[in-house]
Order: sequence, then structure tokens, then C-alpha cells
Amino acid sequence: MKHRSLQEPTFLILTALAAGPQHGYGIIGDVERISDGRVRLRAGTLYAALDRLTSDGLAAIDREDVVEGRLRRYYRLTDPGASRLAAEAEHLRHNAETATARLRLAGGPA
Amino acid sequence: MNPLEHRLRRWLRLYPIDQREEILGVLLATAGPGRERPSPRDAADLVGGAVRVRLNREIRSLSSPIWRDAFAVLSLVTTLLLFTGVIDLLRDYNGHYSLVQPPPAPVWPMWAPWIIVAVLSVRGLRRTAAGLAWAAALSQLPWLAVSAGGSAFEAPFVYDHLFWFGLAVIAAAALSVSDGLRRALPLLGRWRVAALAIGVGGFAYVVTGIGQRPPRGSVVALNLTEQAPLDPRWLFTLAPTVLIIAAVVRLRTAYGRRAAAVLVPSLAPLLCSLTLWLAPPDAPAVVIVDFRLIGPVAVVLLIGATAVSHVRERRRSTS
Repeated sequence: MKHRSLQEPTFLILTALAAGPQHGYGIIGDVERISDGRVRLRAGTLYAALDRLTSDGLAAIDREDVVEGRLRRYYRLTDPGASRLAAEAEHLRHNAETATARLRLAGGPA
Repeated sequence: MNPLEHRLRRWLRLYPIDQREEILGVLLATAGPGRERPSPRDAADLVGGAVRVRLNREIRSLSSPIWRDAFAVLSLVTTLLLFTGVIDLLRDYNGHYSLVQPPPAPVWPMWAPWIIVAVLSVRGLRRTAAGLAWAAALSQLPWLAVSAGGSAFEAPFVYDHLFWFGLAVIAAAALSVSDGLRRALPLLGRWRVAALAIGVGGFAYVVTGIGQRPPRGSVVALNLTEQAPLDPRWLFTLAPTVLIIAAVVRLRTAYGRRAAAVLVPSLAPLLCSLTLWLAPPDAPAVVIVDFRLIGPVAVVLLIGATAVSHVRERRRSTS
């Protein structure tokens, strides 16, 4: 089945979860690191994306902790989520290689 | 509780209850020191996120019993309102005086089947009722085309008549995706059904003008292009409409809120034409008339999405 391309924040959230289960605050920090500080997720954007990813079966709740009286929920990448992330990474790699090759042919900055 | 937490908790009421504590923890952890309120960007992001979460969950719940019940209530109201066409046919046309323009077109096949539809639906013959309802709704199309003489959607009268066509399509669609009147009647209970019947009766009364004499001895119908500003007669139509909505809307129940969300846009053409009566005579009536059909179209699209959701659910359960 053909899927629509993932939006960058969604792609980065799945990438963050590929390293292991993480809670919301951890994901925000990890996404900032992965994107070299370019993407800084806000809570509303993060939880809207996590809600969609869990209902689509691409991510799932791993466990819940209570730290200093506050609920902390950990999310993990599911098998369909890992497959989807791999397919998207491959798609992006292919596009990037094509763009680089064409720029080389044109004598561009690549 | 510090001022920031207090304010954040208020914003987080926009979110489903299961997400609030978790998001609060993240917001407090990412907030800068000494901050007493969320920044405008954070607040905008919270609102945008809440809208997306709510929409996502609502779309996924379209095939749930809650939405089925909401559509059952919608099917009851719209089917009863379509009885107006039958009542209109049964009375003498001489001196006909309607406060709602246009009244239902005097064509039997468009309206008579709705009585049978209601009986079938009450008896639980869901598919037969829905099939007949679709036939009755679509029977309006030839009339719309013929009476407009080939320019169906340009003639003002035919365009206004789309309110009745829209009502019939919504009724047929709602009967197709719910258990119809059989479910709606016990769901509302005796008193609410009685209030609804009075509201629909009142609506039929102003539409068909039963027992009314035209004011000042002449047949004067309110015309969308020649508005009488602050005309008190709009109250006669507003009162039954409000009673109909109040009778079926139960905002404390999940299905009741959803019933309100689909019922109000379904009646939007009527409500909009009421507001038109208050508009100055040189108001751009055509623009508002165009706009008022968005409500019924949105409801039909939502019911279409629900039907798709039902089919997907069924395929998933059989595979």
C-alpha cells in the first residue's frame, strides 16, 4: 500500500523513538538534537502527532511512570512504525542521491 | 499551584482528559524560569494541537455507537420536518400564505413517501426505509431541473428550494447510517418527542399557513431579495425552530452534543434566512444565500465519511 510522505516533525519523532522508548520531554530534546537545533517541537504539535501515530499503530505507549508527582508516559516504535520509518528513510535517501547526482552533472555545489 | 500551572491547566481543558497531566508535565519542564503565563506562540500551538487531537479522535469515532445515535436523532428531526410537504399538499392552495420561502413544491412523490419511510423506520426495517428515503429525496431532482427550465441552480426559487432537497438528502443519509426512528424515539424519551412534535407542528403551521389569513388582506410572502428589516414575523418561524433544536439537543450526553453539531448546520439555511430578515434591504443577499448551503453540504459529507468508516470497519472485522 502506497503511503503519503511523512511530515518532517513526524519523521523526526519516529526517528527519536527508533533509539528506544522515550517520554514527551525526552522526544522534544532528541528531535532538537537530531535536527541540529533546526526543529524545536512544542507540546501541542508533539502530542497531536503522538495521538495520530498511536491511533495509526505506528507508535504505542510503552509504560507510565509518576516522577515528582507528575505522569510520565513512555512511547515506543511499533513494528509497522519501524517499517514505515525505514521506507520513508529509503525514499528520502533515493531523492537526495538523485538531487546530488543531477547537481554534479550540472556543475552545481554538490 | 503556581500561576503558570494554573493558567496551563485552563488551556489544557481543550484536550482529552487522558492527555492533560502528561502535557502539563512537558509544558512545565520546557517553560523558562520565572514565567507566569504561556507565550502567545505556545498558546497558539496548544490550541492548534487540541483541534488536531479532537478532530483525529472524532473522525476515528465516526463508526461508534455515539455517532450512530446522533444520526438517528438527526433522521427523526429531518423526517418529521419533511412531513410539512405532506401537510402542505393536503390543504387548499387558495390564499396560501407561507412565512418561509419557498414552501415545499406541490408534487406528491416528493413528500408522500416520507410517511411510509417513518413507519418503516419505526418498525426497524432500516434498509427499506433508507432506500425509499433516497428515492423520495432524489425524486426532487427532475422537478428542480424541469421547473428551472434547464438552468436549475440559477433560478432563485429553485435555488431556495434546495433547503427542502438538502433536508431530504440529509434524512435519507442519516437513515442509511443509523438505526433511524426506532432508536431515536426511546433515546429522546416521551417528553422530548412531544416537544419535538410541537416544534415540527409549529414549523408546519408557519410554512403552510394553516388557518392563517394574509396580513392586510393580501398574500404577502417574505422575499429574500426584498427584506422587511426588523419584521416581527420572523419570530413565528424562529420559535418552532428553537423548540425543535432544544427538544433534541442534550448537551450533557456525548450523542446529544454530536446531534447538535449536525442538526444546527442542517437547519442553517432556515436560520440564515431568518437573519436575512433582519438585514438592511441593500444587504448582499445572494452572498449569504450561497453561504447558507455550506451547513447541509458539510453534514452530508460527514455522513458520507461515516458510511466509508462503517465499510472499513466491516472489512477489518471480516479480514
